[in-house]
Amino acid sequence: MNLKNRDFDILEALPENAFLKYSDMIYRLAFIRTKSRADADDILQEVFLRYIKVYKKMQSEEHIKAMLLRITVNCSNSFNSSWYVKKTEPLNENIAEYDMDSDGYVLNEVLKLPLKYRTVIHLHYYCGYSVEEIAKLNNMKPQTVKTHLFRAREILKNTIKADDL
Amino acid sequence: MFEKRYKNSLENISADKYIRNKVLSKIESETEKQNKPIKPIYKTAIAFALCFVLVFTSVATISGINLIKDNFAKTRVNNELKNQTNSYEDVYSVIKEFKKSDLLDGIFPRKESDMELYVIEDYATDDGAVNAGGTKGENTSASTTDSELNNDYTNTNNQVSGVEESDIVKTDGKYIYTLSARNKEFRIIDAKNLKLLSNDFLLNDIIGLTNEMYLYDNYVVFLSNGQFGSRMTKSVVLDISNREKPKRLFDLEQSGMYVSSRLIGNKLYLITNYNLDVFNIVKNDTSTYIPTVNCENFSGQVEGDTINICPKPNSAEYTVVCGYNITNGKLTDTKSLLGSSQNVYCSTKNIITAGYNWEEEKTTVVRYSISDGKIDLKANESIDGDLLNQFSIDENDGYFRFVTTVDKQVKSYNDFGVGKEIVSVTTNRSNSLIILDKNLKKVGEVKDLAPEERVYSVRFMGDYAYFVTFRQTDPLFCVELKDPKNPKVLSALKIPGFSNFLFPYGDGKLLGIGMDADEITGRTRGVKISMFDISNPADVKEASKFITKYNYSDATSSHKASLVDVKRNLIGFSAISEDSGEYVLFKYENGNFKNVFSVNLETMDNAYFVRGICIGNKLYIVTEEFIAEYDLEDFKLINKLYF
Repeated sequence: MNLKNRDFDILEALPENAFLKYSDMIYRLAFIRTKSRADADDILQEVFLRYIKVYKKMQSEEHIKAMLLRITVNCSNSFNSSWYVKKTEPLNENIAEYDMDSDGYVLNEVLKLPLKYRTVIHLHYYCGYSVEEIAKLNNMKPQTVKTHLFRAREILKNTIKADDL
Repeated sequence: MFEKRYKNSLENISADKYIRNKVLSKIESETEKQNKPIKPIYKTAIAFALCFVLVFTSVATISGINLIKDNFAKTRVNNELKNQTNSYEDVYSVIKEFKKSDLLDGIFPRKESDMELYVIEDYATDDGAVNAGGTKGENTSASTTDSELNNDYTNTNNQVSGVEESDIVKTDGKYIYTLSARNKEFRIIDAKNLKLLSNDFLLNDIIGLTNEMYLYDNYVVFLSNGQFGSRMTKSVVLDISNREKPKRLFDLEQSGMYVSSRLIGNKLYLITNYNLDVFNIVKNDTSTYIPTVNCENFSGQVEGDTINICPKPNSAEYTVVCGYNITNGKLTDTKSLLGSSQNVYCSTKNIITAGYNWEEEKTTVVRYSISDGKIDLKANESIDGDLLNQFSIDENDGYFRFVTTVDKQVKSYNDFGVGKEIVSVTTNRSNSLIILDKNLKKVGEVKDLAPEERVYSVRFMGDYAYFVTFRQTDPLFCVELKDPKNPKVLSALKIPGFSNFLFPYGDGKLLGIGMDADEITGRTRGVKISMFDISNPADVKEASKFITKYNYSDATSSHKASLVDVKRNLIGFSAISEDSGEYVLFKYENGNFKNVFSVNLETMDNAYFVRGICIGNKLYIVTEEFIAEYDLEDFKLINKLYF
């Protein structure tokens, strides 16, 4: 992850521009982590309110992306540990039953994984980060990430019967 | 494979547009806060110096104000309406704020659904000012009085005498003019022998949503929202001096959707709501945020100094009020006000527009004084509650009276740690009557009438106000307004059902047209007409009532659909029963309603948009498909003409 880039234009770091470019990415990670669209809405806003405070220090495109993802992880961590999440039971807004071949089925199965596994899966397969990069993002050791990824794959192999995991 | 499927499955997961816009505007405002430059010291010094100067000048002005205290009332409007703006930049600076404010929420979806409504029921969307037809009754208002013409004819059921309202059927005693909503045709019919003089005058370019028309002398004015999706309201003036070949004279165009209009003499006052497309506003392109008017002597954006801004606009919309002289197609005056309006009352001297603000649960009332086409914005005020229709407003002797239904929402919150969640919303509803003076300052009011009910009809008659509220039974309130500072409720009569419209019917009588309802459940049972005895305001009585077999009538949704002719003692309207549509006529004799006449209108569809008019001793029933002529003596069919 090369975070410095000399050709980088600071305009791209402006919160508005970052929002237009990365809002979907953040929203999806937040959704994967919270399993709820409404909570993802909240986190989306919170992420950018935090980002406003640091955007002037951004040094490259990659830096912005990583920073936003890191904030998203932090935000959803603090959200998941809030009183509201701990003491209340979410309405089970499970998505409709999908057949084995549809894409929605994959998402459903990923959502059934424990929080730490599905985060790693998402960052690896959707955002395209390597094990080292995920470790940096999540403030974990690379070996831990490897273990999480391995175990998540084991579970998914059984449920969705994919060979290329 | 897994990667691809996983990415595909996430494609639909993204924040919806509404949330995105909200977050984006929040980000913009927060970034601005973050970026506030730190003021250098010398700037502060200058600011201090300025403050000093200001304080001194204002002290000087205050001492001056005592001398010109009388002028204060005149300048009040400008103070209240914050800015009578002087340039387009002033306007832009205010409109820019809309982009950030919560006012945007829901405005665009709401507008789109409005558009759909317009398609379905063409002209049922107006404030009630738009629909219907009826009689001159005692409203005997100015119209052409040619000695050749038969003056004994009924006219549109106008609210205020001398102020003409638009309709789909008009007559001057000799000819009948009809505008078909379905076929988009304008027809002129000779009333004497029921001969169709002209029917092929298709107004192709305004054919979309043609509403209604006016008749003045040898001129006919059409009002229309133009083609579907158009943001302009177009009026077309026709010269009909040759009844067989009408000639198109002028096109009058102004921004916005049609709200209401009035014709006083040859001056047309047209009121539209111009909905701003807030996301596409460009500073240098004034056409994106300034109302446009096109007519004979004016074309382009209105002047900056005719635009006013309400202190708290209820939406990103303008109310555009224009006056035209229809005989020469010239614009006489125009005023625009940021903030929409739904109900319009017009007397010969004043226009009152009223727009409801959902967030504050208040109605913004604005008074324009009018004289011979000139329009002056005089005052504005917010009053509690919402108005029903144009009959909720009245002017009498320099005082303005309003009957409102006040909804107060009581929200109870439950704090779950993250954000506040609304647990329940209950609405406390009541009705009030408010009297304002000519500066729209409150003089008197009666509050908390009929809790949990809403107003169904209102009629002001001089010193008295009559209004009906309804939930299960129908109390008819009579309020005395002789002393504007101290209005008194004189009586409240409770009967089952409700009246949608109240019409004065000769001395000491008030006619109500509405629905009968079950006393316990409040379910409606059929169209009802009632006659109230108001000769003693302290003891209002229902003298008689007649419950028809019909389920619905146009007369219950618009005042213009009913024929109320006190002189001939006739009450007529079209009505629909389970299997047929009919036109019915009643007489009120010896304290009882008598069904003197009813005729089948052939198809059910024909029972909508029907008007009955009387010329001399003939009755004409005008439907979308035919016009029929009856003798008023024996109700025999004389002639019938299919279009």
